Amino acid sequence: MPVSAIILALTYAPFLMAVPFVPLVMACMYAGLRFTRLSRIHQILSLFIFFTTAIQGVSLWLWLEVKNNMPLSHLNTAVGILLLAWFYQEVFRGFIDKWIFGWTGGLLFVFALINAIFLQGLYSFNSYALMVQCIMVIILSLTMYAMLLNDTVKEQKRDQLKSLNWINAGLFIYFASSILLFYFGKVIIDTFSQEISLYSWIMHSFFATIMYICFLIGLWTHPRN
Amino acid sequence: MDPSTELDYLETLLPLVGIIFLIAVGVVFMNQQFQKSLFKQQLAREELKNKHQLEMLQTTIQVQEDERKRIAQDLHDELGAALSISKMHLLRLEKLGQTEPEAALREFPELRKYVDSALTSTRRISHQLMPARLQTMGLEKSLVAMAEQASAAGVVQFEVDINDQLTILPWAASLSLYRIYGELINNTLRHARATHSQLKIELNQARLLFFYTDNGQGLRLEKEREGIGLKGMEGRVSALRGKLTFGNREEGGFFARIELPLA
Repeated sequence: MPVSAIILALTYAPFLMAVPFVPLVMACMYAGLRFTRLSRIHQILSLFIFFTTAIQGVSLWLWLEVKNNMPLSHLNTAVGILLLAWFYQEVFRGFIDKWIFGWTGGLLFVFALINAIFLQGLYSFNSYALMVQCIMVIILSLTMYAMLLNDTVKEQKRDQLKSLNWINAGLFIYFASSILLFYFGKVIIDTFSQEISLYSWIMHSFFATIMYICFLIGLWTHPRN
Repeated sequence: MDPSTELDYLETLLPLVGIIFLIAVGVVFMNQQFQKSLFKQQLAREELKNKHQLEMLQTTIQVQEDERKRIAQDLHDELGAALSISKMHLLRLEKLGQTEPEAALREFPELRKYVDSALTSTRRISHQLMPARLQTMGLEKSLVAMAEQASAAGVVQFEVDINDQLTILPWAASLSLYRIYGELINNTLRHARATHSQLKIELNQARLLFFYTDNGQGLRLEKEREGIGLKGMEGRVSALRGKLTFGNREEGGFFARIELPLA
């Protein structure tokens, strides 16, 4: 990557960090307007979007105020695990037993809480919980891709196929791209300069933007009853 | 590379390898669960299909037996009775012919009446078995004639709207549609309490669409939906590799929709 691009990115860091907020707010507003007319799967995704919007909003404000926003990251991860497990439980309803999602979501939520309180601490970067969330979502999104190739599933979810593909694509792109950022996140923060750390978070913003755009398209293309 | 660097490298690499391994195992496990569930669903679907086919077969046999019973009853009650009475008259005429020939001559019109009745019954039973007007007039005119006949009672107004010539249909399809329309008319007259009914037939190169509606009370009970008449229709349509859907219309009344492939 040319040095000039890195410098440019660092110069406009605050703007670039706020960019994902645009599609997120748009998705949040759309989900809010159409909530009662959405299917159950899309309603659960909407809850995830509403929660993320609230957390990201407060988080961005704290970052601009140069205050530690790590507790919000812990909260976001823990609740995000539950909501995403619930989302995939509904997607796989009728094809995979729901106890798998219940146990997975429950155990990982508890792990995220234990990590916040005892392991990494509330005010430090929660790389362990984020890694665990990434692993869960990558497994579920890959399984969903395999499932959507099946003719029976295509037939049963015919009207939701397009929408689910977009949402799943967003989740997979974000979590698969960010997994290494989260894995090396603590090392980057502890070892490298603030500028390099910021650069990795700019990349994270880019992936998050893609995810929220996919959510927006997924909601937009949801089946109209 | 010095040992501490190697250790750092391993400390970084091994967890990453472990994570990728975990993801792979997770995906394999989830896919296994999915395949298991899919297999169970497919088995359940096959079972349902077999049950449905068995029901259709039983219905077909039942319909055949009912038809045979009705024909036997008609033959016995009408034709048999007319021929028995004719025979009795002939025996009487045989005796009268020897003693009172003029009186015997006066009995012939009466005898002819019974023979005519027997012929009428034979004709009627024969037409029910194989509708003559379908052979002579073709399906389109037969359907229109059936609608006019049913409308003549003044209870329900039956309309037929056909957008093309139905001469290209094979005989089996024509006969089935004829019988189906007869059954639908019957159901409307007996159960629907309707005032108006319409049959629309649309034909293109690939398929025939047969759409029947009435403005009656629709199908009220589950058992009406599974009635033998509708099952019989289903059997006829399946035999022609077609598709039958029926139910209650949103605006009220009953509908039956048949799609038949023509290729």
